[in-house]
Amino acid sequence: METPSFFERQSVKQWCWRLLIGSLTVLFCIDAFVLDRYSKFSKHGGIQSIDGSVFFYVGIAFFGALFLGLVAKILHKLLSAEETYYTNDY
Amino acid sequence: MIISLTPGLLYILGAAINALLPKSLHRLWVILLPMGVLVQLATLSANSGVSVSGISGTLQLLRVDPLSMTFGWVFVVASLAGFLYGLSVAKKREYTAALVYIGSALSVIFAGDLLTLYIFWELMAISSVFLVLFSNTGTSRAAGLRYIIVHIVGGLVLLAGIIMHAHATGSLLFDAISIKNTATWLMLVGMLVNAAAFPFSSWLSDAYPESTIMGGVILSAFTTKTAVYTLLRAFPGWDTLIWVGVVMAIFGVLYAVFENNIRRILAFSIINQGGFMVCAVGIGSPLAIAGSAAHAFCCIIYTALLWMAAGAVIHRTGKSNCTELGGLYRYMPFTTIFAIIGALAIAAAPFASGFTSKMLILKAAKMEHLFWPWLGLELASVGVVFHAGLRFILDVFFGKDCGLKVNEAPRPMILGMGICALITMYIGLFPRLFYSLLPFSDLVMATIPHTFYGIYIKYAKNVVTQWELLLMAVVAFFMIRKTIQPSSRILRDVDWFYRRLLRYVVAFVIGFIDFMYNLINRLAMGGVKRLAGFFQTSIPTLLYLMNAPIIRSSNLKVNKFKLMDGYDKQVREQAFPFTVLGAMVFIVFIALYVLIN
Repeated sequence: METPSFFERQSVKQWCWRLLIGSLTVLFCIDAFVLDRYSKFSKHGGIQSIDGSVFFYVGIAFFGALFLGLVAKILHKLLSAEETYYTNDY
Repeated sequence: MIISLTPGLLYILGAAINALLPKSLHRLWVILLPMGVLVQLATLSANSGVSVSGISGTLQLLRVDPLSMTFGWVFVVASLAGFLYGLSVAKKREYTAALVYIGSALSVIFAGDLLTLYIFWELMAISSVFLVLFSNTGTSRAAGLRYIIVHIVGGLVLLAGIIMHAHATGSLLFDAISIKNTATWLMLVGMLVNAAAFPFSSWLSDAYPESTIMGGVILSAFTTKTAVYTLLRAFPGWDTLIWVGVVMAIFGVLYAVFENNIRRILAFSIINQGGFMVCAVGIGSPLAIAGSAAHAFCCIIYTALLWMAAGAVIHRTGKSNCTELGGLYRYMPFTTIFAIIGALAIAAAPFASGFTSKMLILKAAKMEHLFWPWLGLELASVGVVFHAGLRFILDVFFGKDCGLKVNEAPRPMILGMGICALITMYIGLFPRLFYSLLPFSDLVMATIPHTFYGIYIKYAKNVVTQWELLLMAVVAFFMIRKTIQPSSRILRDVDWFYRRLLRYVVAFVIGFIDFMYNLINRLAMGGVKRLAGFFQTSIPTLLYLMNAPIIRSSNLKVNKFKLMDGYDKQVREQAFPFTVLGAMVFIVFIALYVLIN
């Protein structure tokens, strides 16, 4: 049986996933508990009423990504065609 | 008449020389030429104008200011990197076409009047199509044909706008336009065609993936960015462009999600990134204009880098679909690293150039309190992570091993990618020098942190929130990855209207015209026949009636029917055509008289 490559191994995938969630948690904590408390690290400019919350960007990213994926899926259902659809067309 | 060689004309002249040089020398020439033009650019100042007096007035071939210089620098650097990259794969004729194309793009950038702009605008379209045609496949020929038709139509729309604008204002000056009328809208549409703005974008995803390996790299850098430059110059602050840009940015993402062809994924990325620039043009504040120019600069470099990586993969494997590739990181480590740098930059990850330029646009949108456009651009940023950031990198380099054991890209390719990667990282880490090139650079420096310490330590919140955004998008991607696998099916784009619908429309119109022709022919011929029949019988009868009293008074025995036959023969052979014509003219005159009164 062929050995899967490094990045295909289940254990490596799991560690990558843990690393991803761990980094996100660390960033989240830094954002919420360090940067927001010390003004010298504060956001340069920006509109606090819009993006002041630590949840804001995480929310945009997560729900935005799901929303885009959903819209793309619907578009694909509606507009996709066989690869040969335009064959011999100009 | 003053004749001087502008950077663009140097490239065009260089193309002619390149065509004449032997193979061994032309490779040296295509590297030395951009280097020479870089030196020339360094000597240009705001006083370095070049004008030509002709019959249509004075044409300004060279106008130097921070906006034109920003684009000028990046065009020449991108051409140098692209030419180095192509040394191992591109033929001499590709270089010749590319030199004319880049020369035309540079001439548009430095043009001070609309006539010069238009001439080089069209030359750019004509020369660039060869980079598609030189692939020499059936699909590339068809795509090239569609590409040139779209660009010629777009060019004609632009020309119509320029003529009307010049007629109305008496000026051919290429500068900011504030009046909104038919002429300026036509000019805007002509420019948006080249910017690949929705719904004029399908030519890009249609033609670019069919180009040659080096052609793709070169094409990715110039046409759309030249159009962005013209928009920046002529239409800053036009509100419509804000939403045109947002739609472009999101459209590019949505179409790339299910795409399988790696170069088509990157083609949609060009549309997506162009959206940010066009939106910034619409915002129109000094910071937005600087942001648009900055993003064009960075985008040219990192998009070229991604196209180079994709080209290297296609060159080595002969495959261009995500589903046919995978596990190439083991065989092409340098290409993998460079592709990751390009992907980080396009996703606006901190430490790469995209972050420093996109920050300007998003900041400008915030400062103008444009919440919804800002949110649209943030959404588009998340989407970029999906296709260019993850799909391209994961599927091609880290996906399931495709079983292809290939060599690393040739050295010239590595060198070309290395230059682009270096610039990308340098601008991402130390953007001060880059910001100083931009228009309104003083304002940019005063508004945005521009040192490593300023960006990554003092105002670290920007960096942290951007990483949160990106990593959360990665999490979402892996959660829905199975439902958004690349598909072998194609997604119908706006080109459906001219590739499918137009064919049916043309067939319908031809059929309708044919039907109407036959109908009118039948009706008209029936009428003419009846009219002719009327005159045929009436004229001999009339002649007989006129002669009847004379015949009767002379007591001649004449057969009435024989006499009428004689008249008939006479009328047919001699007088008939004239009689009918005269009668018809008479009837027409009577009809006209009745109608008028």
